[in-house]
Amino acid sequence: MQLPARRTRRLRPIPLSAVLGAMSPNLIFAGLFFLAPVVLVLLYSFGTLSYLTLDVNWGWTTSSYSAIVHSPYLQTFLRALLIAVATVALCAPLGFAISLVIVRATPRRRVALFLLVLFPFWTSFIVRTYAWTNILGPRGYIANLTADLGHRVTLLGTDWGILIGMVAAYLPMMALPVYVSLSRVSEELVAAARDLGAGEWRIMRTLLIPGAAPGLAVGALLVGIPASGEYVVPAVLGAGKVTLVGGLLAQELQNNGNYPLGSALTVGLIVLMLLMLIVARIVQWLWARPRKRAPVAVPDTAAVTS
Amino acid sequence: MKTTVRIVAFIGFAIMIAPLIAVIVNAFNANVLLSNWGGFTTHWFTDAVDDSGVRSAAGQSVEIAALVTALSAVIGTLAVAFNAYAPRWVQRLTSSLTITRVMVPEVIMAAGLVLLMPKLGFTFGIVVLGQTVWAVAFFIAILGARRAGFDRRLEDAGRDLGASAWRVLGTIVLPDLLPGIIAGALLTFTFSFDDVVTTVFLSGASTMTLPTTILARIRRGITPEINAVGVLVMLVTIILLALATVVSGQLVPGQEGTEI
Repeated sequence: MQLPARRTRRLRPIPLSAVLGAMSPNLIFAGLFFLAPVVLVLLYSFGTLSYLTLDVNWGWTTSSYSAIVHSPYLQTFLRALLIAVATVALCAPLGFAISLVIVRATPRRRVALFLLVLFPFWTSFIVRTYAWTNILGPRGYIANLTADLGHRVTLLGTDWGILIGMVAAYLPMMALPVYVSLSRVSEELVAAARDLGAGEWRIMRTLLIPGAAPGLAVGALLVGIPASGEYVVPAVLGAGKVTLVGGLLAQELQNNGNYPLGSALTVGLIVLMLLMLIVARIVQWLWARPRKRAPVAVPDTAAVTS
Repeated sequence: MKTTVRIVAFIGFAIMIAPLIAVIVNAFNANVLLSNWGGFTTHWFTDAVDDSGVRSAAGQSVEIAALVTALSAVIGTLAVAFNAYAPRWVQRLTSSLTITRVMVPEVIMAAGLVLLMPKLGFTFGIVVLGQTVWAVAFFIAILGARRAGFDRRLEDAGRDLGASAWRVLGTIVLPDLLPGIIAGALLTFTFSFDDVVTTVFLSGASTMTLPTTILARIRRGITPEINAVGVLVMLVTIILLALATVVSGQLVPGQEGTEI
């Protein structure tokens, strides 16, 4: 649809120089401290470290990359990826169930339940992660409970402990976009389906899950991307025994001063992030095709994020 | 089916809320080992407040967050206020740089800055710069949403009545953005106050904020005092964010009876 043309010639427009002057601090800042460092990461990752002088020799060798592939670091990378995927896979059903319960609640209870999601979301990330040590630690609730049952289980310092912490930390990021999508599924449609004899599972499969799909897609990115590079959760719940990619980065860049290796690890993370975006796009595309026959209007993902 | 959904949802709520309850309970737990309930005490709070390390860290946190917020608010407000008048390519560049900075994991941005640092040195100022990189993007995203919801006819009306573009900007656009600026600033302050990654990567050992102090203490073992610090930090972030919601929510035109 063509909107009526706006008056394009304004009386006295703001001069272009003033506009560019106002916009440029942000662009210059992003260029200097965001784009330039990322380019630097790429350049460093192909250089080598001289172990005598600790200087970086520029060049185009892939020695840092092969060092990663032939070291335990590759395994750490794969574990980080696996934990990120598991976090998304666990957050999705939990976030979906939470959103469904909130959507179906009475208005007053809805506010209360919504606050239960917002409260942890608003709490300091380090505090709510560290909070788990009270539960997972060697003297925590789980350890005490399992000790009474005969075998003391300490999840702190294991991949399982990290996974629990990650799910708890990122669950609001999944629940909020899924809630937005689910609240757009027409109640009348669900009621009509029920009147026509559809069971709960059928309603779930044909109406609610497809309706929540755009939110799930956004949530998967909001959870998966930061989770793959997560530093805080493994640092706190790994208890010094378990590290993931974020921890390796800090170790190489700060303690060892091995910039080429640290850069190559960072490039690995960037590639991982791009892959997730591509996978998300493909899934979205595959999902969109058969949806053409579907009775629910599936909102655009872009509309959910904005 | 309904019960399955309820059970899964309950697990979800529990996994988010249970650790917070554990922190709050243990912050008042008199048992030093924290293994059992040993009676009520506020001892750990007085310990935390008297702890000079915690105090100086809190000071640093506030200082850094205030600087990051001020920088982000100035840069971000300029970018958002003038965005509508800018050429298309500048708008596109601004928005894609904003989205990438919001999306990219913080470790990547911090790692890049570490490489740049040897030329600049690890200092307090670098932490501020490093945090501002993403803080500006969050600020622009928040304020941009408000600007997008702005009724452009008001601007047109101002123009038709003979106001210059500058006057329209100063008397119509900026006042409308003000609640958004305040809410954005409060959120930015909280994000900065809460930051671990950028601070850990860029500060070396010289600059300790509250979150990095908590991290360092945890590595030496959990003490009841840390729970008290955690509860205090929790209170600060929740108050700030609730404030941000109130400011941005109640001052939305049309909701609380606009006077226009």
